[in-house]
Amino acid sequence: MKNFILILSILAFIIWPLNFFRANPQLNLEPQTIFVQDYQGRQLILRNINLYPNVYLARLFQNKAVIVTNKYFNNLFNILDLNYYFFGSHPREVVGGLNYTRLPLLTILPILWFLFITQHPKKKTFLLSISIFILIISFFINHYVYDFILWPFFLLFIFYGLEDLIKINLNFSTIFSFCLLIETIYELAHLIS
Amino acid sequence: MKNIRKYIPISILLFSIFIGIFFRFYKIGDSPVGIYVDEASIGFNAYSILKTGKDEYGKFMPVMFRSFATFQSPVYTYLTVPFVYLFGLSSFSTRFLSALLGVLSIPLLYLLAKQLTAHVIPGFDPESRKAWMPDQVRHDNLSTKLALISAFLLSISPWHIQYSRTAYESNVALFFLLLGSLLFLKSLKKPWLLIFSTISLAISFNAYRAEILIVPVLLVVLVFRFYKVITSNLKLFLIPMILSALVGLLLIAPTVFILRTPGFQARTTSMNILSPTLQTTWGYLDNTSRLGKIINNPRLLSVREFISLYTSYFSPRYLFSLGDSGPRKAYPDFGTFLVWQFPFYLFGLYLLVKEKEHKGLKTFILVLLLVSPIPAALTRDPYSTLRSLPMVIPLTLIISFGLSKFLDLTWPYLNKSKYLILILFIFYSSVRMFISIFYHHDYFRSVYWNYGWRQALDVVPILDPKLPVLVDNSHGDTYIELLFLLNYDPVTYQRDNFEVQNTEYYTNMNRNKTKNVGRFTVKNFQWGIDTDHVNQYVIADNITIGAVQIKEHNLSIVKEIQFPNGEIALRILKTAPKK
Repeated sequence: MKNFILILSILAFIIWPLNFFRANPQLNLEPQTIFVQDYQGRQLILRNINLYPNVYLARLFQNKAVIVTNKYFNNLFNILDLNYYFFGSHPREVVGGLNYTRLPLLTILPILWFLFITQHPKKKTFLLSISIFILIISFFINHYVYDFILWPFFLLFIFYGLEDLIKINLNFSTIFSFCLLIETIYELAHLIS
Repeated sequence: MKNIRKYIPISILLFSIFIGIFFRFYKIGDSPVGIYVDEASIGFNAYSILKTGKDEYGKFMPVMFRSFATFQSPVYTYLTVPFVYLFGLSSFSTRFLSALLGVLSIPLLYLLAKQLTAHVIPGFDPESRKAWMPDQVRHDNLSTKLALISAFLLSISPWHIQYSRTAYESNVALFFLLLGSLLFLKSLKKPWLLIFSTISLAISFNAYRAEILIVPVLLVVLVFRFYKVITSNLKLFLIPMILSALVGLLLIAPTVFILRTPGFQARTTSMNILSPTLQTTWGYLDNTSRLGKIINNPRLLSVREFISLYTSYFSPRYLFSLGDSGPRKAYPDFGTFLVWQFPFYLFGLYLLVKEKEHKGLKTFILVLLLVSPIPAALTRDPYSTLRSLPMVIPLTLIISFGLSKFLDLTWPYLNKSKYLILILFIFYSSVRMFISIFYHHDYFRSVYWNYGWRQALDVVPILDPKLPVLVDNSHGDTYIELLFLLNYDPVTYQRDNFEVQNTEYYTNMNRNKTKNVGRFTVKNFQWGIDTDHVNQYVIADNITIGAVQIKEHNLSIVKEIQFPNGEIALRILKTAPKK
């Protein structure tokens, strides 16, 4: 059974690299951080400054630091968005580099199970490591190129989550694994077509 | 010192209410600038009911208001009648109800949070009714803290403020949902309150379409959760339960009767992702092979789209950064919650799963959290804060839960600077929101609030009274703006404008494309017919009549109305017919 869930986890996981290379045929690994000069961002700040009742408030809320922090939080929230992994962003939303499915939807159950329920000796280490990576990746505008770093973590989450689920209820887990297999094939069919 | 400490909770609650009043009532008639057609429709129909007992179409006390054949829920309009009577027909009186109920929701959430976190003293069976008697219930430190933080966070919630400052039905539905839930919990001690709880929930059911799904689910879960309390004291609960059921059925019956009419279903069908679509289903791939039939299966794609839309309501990206994409439904540069609340959202979620205590709170949060986005996710719009407004309550409670636990853990280790940090957070968030609501929103979003009609009508008295005025209707139902702003006599309007027979009110979707409002004729403007043959004034926006066309058709500009950002909102023009 352990081998089966390992194979299933890896199979479910193939979608991420396959879709990644399909979505980014000309891979550009050159890092673009949130600290690069942003002419448009500055223009927006200048425009907004004029709309404040006084200069002190304008300086407090509209400054260069705001450009950087806004970008950072946008990236961070992108990476923490479930739809980013399971649907390639939100319906009818076209975002450069982000519009590809990374994981089959059903893997959400073992992932959440692992995150909230599973008692694993290395859970804290995993969570701390993935949090650090997420916080670092958020510094890159083209974070979708580097989110590959999260790939092994998700693999582990799915594997340990499924393993724990099987221990608790074998029948449910067998049915669930079968459904996950079908969904993975469906997603792969999407890829092939 | 002890005496002073006793007053701290009430002081914080009063402060929260004060902040809530400020953000909801300050300049309520002037900001948002202009009045949106849906608001104008609510206001004028309330005015029409007050004066004639009928709506703008001449229907006596309708169950749902026809309103541009979109069929608005009736509760907001009926409850606005007294305010229109008191203050006259204006933006202020139309938005007053929403602001009032928005403010009242703050202490209501405080009471609800306290009720949900009430501890039962050990030794009593928590499922028995006795356990809910006042002397067996105590409120621990977390309970008061959570309730106060929830109330305060709701008072500065951009999401809740947005819908409390505008005349949207969903805010009214939310208030009665909260009130109904609180009364239900209180009824476990005083069973007769069950009737008032039912009345409140039934009003919520009738007040907004999303609540048609939310209210029954919440009620079933609450009854199921406290099943033992009710059955163990069946004698006390029996009569109130029977009466509640009767009252509830009586109140929801009118809405239930028209659920299947074309009028009620028109909007639901046009927005529903599961209905036959005019546009391609999301995720459709051009593939004519056998594989294509499987991967393009419309049902599978619709389910996928629904789940994707559903999960977007939990997305930190939308909650803390993007907010609603609708320009009327979010303040510039604001998500639905403040960015600094994000860590507490995660911590609160974690606690929600892990905590063994506060089962009542957890049940309430989970039900509202999981059910509220369903009606919204069934429609095409991604992340609609209007349709998912009840979510503001469980999310605020989750953030408050995280924040109160965080304060419990860190409070002893922080020195006096903790007060300074707290004040800075409150000050920074409040000022930033103040600027966004009263400066940026009006500047950037005035175009979406039908700005300019009030200013245009101020010019009309100086126009030649012998000439008719044509008002272009091609970009929305502008006739309602005129009716609202002119406080037009409903009797005259009903007499001059016929749309459908009363018997076909909910079934006939045809619309009268020309409206007569005194000297104004409201219809779609046509080049040539309306410019070259008739001597008249024309009021239209910059999209309908641009600068080049003015020159081509020899029109003269009487007045240009500008948006706050300087762009042209409306033009009043005079035609020069060819002889």
